[in-house]
Amino acid sequence: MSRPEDEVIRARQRKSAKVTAWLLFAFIALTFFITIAKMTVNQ
Amino acid sequence: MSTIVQTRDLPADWRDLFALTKPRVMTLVVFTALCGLLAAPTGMHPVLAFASILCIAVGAGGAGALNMWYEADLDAKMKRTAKRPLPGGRLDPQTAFQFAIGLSVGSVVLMDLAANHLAAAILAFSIFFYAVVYTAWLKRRTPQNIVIGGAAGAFPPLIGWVAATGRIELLPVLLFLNIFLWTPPHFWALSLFVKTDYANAGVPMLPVIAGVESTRRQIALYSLPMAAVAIAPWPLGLTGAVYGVVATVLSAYFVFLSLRVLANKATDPAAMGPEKALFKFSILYQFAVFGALVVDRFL
Repeated sequence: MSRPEDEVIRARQRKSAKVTAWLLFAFIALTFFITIAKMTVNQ
Repeated sequence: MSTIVQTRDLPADWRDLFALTKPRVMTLVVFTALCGLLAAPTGMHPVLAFASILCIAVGAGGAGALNMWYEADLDAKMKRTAKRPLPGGRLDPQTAFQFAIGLSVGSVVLMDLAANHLAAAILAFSIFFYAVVYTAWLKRRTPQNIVIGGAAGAFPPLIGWVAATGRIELLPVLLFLNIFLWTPPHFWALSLFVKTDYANAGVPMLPVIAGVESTRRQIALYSLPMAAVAIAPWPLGLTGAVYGVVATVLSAYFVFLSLRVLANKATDPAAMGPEKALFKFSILYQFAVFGALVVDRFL
């Protein structure tokens, strides 16, 4: 059984990982939409 | 066995990282940048406009985070800033620095992709200016720190304009000068009634070095060219009457409040009503003047 300290650390790591994943997804989506918008503008 | 975990040993909490970006300061940055972009004569694709404003906000967040990383020792000495993530011990400096660099570099790269090289270059320069010229170089060395450092906060409307047009023109330069000349009276009014805090931290703010009377004179002196620069776009034919009337009335009231500050002889922060009134109005002033610019553009 893990110690209470480990549980606090794991919970914080899970939260950080989720926020990082969302941010990376937003970054990729934004880059994609920028590329599409640039193509539209340059046509 | 103790169940207390030292906060510094924990992975960073996203709320502390978010606080590092100075979200309240970012509000005015985003607003003025958006106004600069919307006031530009060239339209911009909504996605590219959104991305450009986001880049300016993230760049400002990166610069703010670099500022907090470098100034953690100062922040710990001031009541107003002692609970920030770094002096509060909730975040380790290395994480804060990596986060700040990541935001700064990411915002410039994305700005280059979304807008143009010139907008990205000005964004990069403004981050450098705030983090290095103001924070690391001037803030602890000269009581004129705010005057030169204020330039960093004046870049957003210029970047917004350049993102849309790709050019630097007279109107965005006047918008830049308006914020540049507005910053000293805005911050000096604040530093008059929180002077003790700055003195304890050893920051050479003007009231600490030159005294209260000299600071009040400087506030009044700066408010005059600020008002002239704010009104100038109207007689120069760069904006219409809506902007002109709003800028003239609000700038006149700003000068009036500055003169009330000049006339105040109190040294006790509790009796500094005119200084507090000027500080509060100065925030409203920028929102209203830049808002009027956009309204004027679309009328």
